[in-house]
Amino acid sequence: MKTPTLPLPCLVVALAALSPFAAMAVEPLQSAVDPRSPAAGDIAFIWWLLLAGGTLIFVGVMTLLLFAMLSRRPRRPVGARLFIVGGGLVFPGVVLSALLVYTVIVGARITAPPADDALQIDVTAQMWWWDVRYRDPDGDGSAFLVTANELRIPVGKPVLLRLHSADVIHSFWVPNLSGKVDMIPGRVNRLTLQADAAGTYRGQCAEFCGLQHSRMALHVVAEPVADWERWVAQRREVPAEPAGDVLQRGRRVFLETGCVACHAVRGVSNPPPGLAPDLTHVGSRPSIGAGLLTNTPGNLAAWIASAQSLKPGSKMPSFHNLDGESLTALAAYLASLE
Amino acid sequence: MSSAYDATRADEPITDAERRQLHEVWAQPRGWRRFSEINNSVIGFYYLVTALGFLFAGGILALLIRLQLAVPDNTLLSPETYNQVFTMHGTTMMFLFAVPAVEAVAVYLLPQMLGARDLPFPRLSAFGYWCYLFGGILAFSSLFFGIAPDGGWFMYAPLTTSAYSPGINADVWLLGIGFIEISAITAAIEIIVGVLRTRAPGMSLNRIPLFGWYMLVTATMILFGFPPMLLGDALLELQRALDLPFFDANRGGDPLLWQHLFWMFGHPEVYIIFLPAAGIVSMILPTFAQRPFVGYHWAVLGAIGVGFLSFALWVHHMFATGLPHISLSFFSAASMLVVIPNAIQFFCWIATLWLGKPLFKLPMLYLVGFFSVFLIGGLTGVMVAVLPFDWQAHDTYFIVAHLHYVLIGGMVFPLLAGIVYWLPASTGRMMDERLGKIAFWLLFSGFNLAFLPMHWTGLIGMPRRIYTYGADMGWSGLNMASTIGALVLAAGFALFAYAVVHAARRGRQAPDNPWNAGTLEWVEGIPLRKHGFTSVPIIRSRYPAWEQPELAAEVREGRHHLAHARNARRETIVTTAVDARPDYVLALPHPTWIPMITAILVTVCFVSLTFKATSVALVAAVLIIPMLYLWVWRTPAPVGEVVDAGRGLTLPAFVSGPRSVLYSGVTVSLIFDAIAFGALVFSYLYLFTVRGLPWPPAGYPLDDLATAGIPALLALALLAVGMLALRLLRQDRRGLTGMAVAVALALQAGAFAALLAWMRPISATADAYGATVWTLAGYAMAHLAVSAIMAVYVLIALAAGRLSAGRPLALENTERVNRFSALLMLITLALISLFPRIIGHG
Amino acid sequence: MDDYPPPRPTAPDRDTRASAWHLAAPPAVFLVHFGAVYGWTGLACGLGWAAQRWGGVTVVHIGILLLTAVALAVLWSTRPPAEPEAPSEIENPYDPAERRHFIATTSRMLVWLVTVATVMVALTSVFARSCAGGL
Repeated sequence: MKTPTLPLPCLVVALAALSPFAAMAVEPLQSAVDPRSPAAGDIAFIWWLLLAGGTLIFVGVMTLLLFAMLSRRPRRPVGARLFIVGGGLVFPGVVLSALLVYTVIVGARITAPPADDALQIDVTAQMWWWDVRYRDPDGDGSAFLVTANELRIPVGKPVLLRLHSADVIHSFWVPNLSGKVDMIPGRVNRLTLQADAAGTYRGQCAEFCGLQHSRMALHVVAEPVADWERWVAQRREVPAEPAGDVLQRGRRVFLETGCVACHAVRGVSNPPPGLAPDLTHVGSRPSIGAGLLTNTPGNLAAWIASAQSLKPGSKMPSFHNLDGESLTALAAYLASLE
Repeated sequence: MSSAYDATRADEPITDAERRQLHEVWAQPRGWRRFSEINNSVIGFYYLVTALGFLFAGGILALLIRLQLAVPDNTLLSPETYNQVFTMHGTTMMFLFAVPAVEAVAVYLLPQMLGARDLPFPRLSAFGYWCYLFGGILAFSSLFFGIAPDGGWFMYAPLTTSAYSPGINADVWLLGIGFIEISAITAAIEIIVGVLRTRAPGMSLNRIPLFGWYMLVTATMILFGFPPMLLGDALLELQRALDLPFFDANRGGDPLLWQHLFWMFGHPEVYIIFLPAAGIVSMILPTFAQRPFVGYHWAVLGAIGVGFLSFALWVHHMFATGLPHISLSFFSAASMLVVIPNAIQFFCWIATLWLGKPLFKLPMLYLVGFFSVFLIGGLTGVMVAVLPFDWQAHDTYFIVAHLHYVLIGGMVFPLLAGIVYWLPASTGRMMDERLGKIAFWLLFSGFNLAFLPMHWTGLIGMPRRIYTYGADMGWSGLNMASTIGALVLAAGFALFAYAVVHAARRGRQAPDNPWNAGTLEWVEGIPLRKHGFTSVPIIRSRYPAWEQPELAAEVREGRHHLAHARNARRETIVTTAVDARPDYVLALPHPTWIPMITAILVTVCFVSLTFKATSVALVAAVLIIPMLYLWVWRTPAPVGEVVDAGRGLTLPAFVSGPRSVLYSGVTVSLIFDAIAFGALVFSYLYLFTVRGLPWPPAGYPLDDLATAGIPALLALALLAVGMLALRLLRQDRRGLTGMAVAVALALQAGAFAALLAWMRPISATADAYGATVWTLAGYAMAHLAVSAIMAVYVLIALAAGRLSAGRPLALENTERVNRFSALLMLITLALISLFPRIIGHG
Repeated sequence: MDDYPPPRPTAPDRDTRASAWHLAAPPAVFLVHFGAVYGWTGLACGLGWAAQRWGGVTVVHIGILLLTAVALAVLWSTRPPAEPEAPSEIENPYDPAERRHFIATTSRMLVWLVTVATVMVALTSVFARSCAGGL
């Protein structure tokens, strides 16, 4: 058999190797290689280091191997021991020890908890959305602010997340900001989250959690400290009475259709916690249905009318019996809760 | 030293009549009865064909996955279907293809490589195969009824408990895995005892073909790796069926217990798949380098090193579960350490090529595929062993890419190389070079196009196991590339399959040793025979075909050992484990339906349990007992006291005690059993460390020691009576032996009842503590029941005059199981009753 | 070929047991040590002893150090003496010289491999100081 020189396979492999770079043209919504925090930055640096080292080793070993396999020239008899001890024992031993020590030290830095006075947020995952509660710093651990599927944090300040699960195992992962941590029933895991730049960072459940695992996203919105403080202050206020007929009607629909059995709106309804996302300020969230749709009045109406066909299996029923006007009013009311 | 032996003369050649008889005795029955064949060469072939069938079935599922993900927001598959498809893709590839395939290659080729006529327990292999076939088909066909497992191949609790998966789907998974466990353990017993005891005379440990070493390590890993999984399955099914809350955090259980048990199996599993493939590479490479393997003992070191280090890696699948950083760092270290034995093997291969005169034949092309793809998989393996990087990469498409590089590179390419390489040995014909080359390049380019981009897809945020993604995520282009690659890969597999069928039907006739290989399986010519060699060769080197040039003619002419089947019996020579000195001649069973019927009964039992038809399951379970009696009853009895093994060597036709392979087989089974029990003890202690003091938890009073005393005394009495029975039989006092066995039977029943009574006050469903101690007690009680079933057989055999001082094997083995059961019971009592007192139960 | 056919064995001889022991002991030491340090760390972190120090070193690390010292002592005590390489031409296929050399060399290398592995596992804990979980 002749030395293989086939143009087609080379082309395909080259294509495969190049496709990532082609894909870089499209900005991904979430990415571990576009770090926006110290931890994600450390990890991205480790990745490029590993890639460079791995590529060097791959090229070196394959060159040696193909040369040994294909070269017709008589080769110098190199001792077997040099090969096996040098390549199999000494080289990997030295390289890996260095790598291990370096990465364990970085790991220790990343896992270090933030200062005691850091903001603490309880995130509880459930099929298939995220319940978010900000802990009162002076209080007994009770929440002063409840939201869902979004976290707002101040830029540049480490925040301590306590991760819970209400049903099965989920995993909290916002790739631009941090690695992932599982959320396990019966356990509370901790994660230090920090964003270096203002922006909205998408995250997504990373542990298979059943039917709609694919549709369980959340957004971390990082804001300058002043903006963030303003947001908190606003959140602490009870939302204003809805103004105008449409919004009034929307609230009536909200109260009469059964929404209040599960959804809380401060000052309007108060069901047992954890049944469904708190809607007190739903109008200002980036998305609805845990990242399923962008948050517009139209999408809100679509979600209310046909949640079960948009996200089959979720606990939200499809209210397809609502007449058009009520639906529009309800969506407008919810959109007004900013 | 036999007086008839003459060192200067090889044996007389085999006569035509003897040759005919040898062929007749080993011939496969015709017609329907062909499926009663139990010869490992035949079973190994069935095994391999079935495994490759599942490879194609799993491949079709892979294509469905890739088609669904080709474009964003695709609706080709519903979320329900997608979850079933990806779960069954992983399950099929790991359990129905990869593990059985390596077992298949082993039982198919090992007799030929070791110079045995057959491995020692052909009926066991056949039983394992039929269980695998029935279980595999049942589990896979659940897809067609929409009741396939949908919790991922890793089946994490609590998603898979009945609270979140009320359907039958998860039970189907547990059912299928039950069968795979059976076939894996039967294969492990066969391979361990086979490699250690049925090697050709003179094939000492340092002369075993490397594949034999790799399989010995692999089978040992199965022995240690599968029991935790078996136990995990049992606990999960107990929680699903009977509401025992092992994994329910609200009742003192812990979801992570499942992950520990699963990955204690799951990580070694990867190497259980890879090591045999590395063994295949180590067999092929010297042939084409035209020189002996460089660094034989380094390779053995590498295999053993990978074998034991792989048991220290399981938590690297749990890096994101929030365990302490210190604990994780141990596993990060071990995950990097396992690179060293792998690198040693890799450099042995390079050195063999470097110091040889390599010929670039078709199998070598597939090995290039193996080297390059597996090397990338190994390097990304180091990457994910790095804790911080894994926190990002874990559960993303980066891992999907990594694991396919490891498994397809590390297992499928060597397997394909092996198929090309041994095709002439199996069929006498060669694969067409051109077809083989085109298939390779399709496979290689398709594979890389499918999986190389996936690394990046994962890094830009795509998690695993999602049924679709939005167009705005930025993953569309890469996913399309992967789908195109998967289609090319599939075309490569289809062409390879065609090339194999084409070769088997119309391929070029191969010469006797087409590759000029040096190992034993090529010595007597091709195609390989069901009885192995005309005479069992005496081995003096690692590459007998190269270094013992006279061997081929001598073996063919029957001038070595056992060149006859004079007793009209299938027989093989058993040798000693280390130096392979001839020990005795083992009479092997002839074709029989017993293994298949037993497998059918096991299938009926498992399936009716799955569908909650308890009475049918009970009937099938009860019917299994007489089948097992028949099985043991039909174990071939020796003809005469000694067998003329040729060359003046006379060997005993029967041995008992530790020299017997049946004794070794039971030893291996008991080790498996002990590891499973160890995993249960681990679960008990694990739940204690999670829960902390008080132990037992609040609400469970600690019994007073006196009540634990009764079952403990019964267990001690059982130990004593069992030993007494064996002693009486050795003195040939059979009547008294029978009485002692009867007393043991009564004690077993008594101990069973005492344990049951002792456990009564504890609720099994209120708390994970109760569930675990009930399972511990249940484990001991199940063993008492098995011991009792064996004791009844001993009574029957005694009555029939089959047991005597000279033939004590059945009682010896029964006694060992009995002793084991009594010990289990004592340990269980100590764990439940003494352990809390020692740690100061709070 | 004087002692062919070979004298038949009656029970596993000393060589058999020794071979099995020399090949099985180092892996066993590694796994027991690994299990012990992992179990110890889990226990110490779980019960909150991790923060306690003794002479500036945490209790966790002292435990790991002791376990490692014991493991290494046991490991090296299992190491067999070297066996000379056997002549390549053999008369009697059952001559154990070649096999003795093989078992001794392989198990001596195994001891080294396990030494490296055990030390590396223990050393890592020095750099991973905390019981903190997650990130």
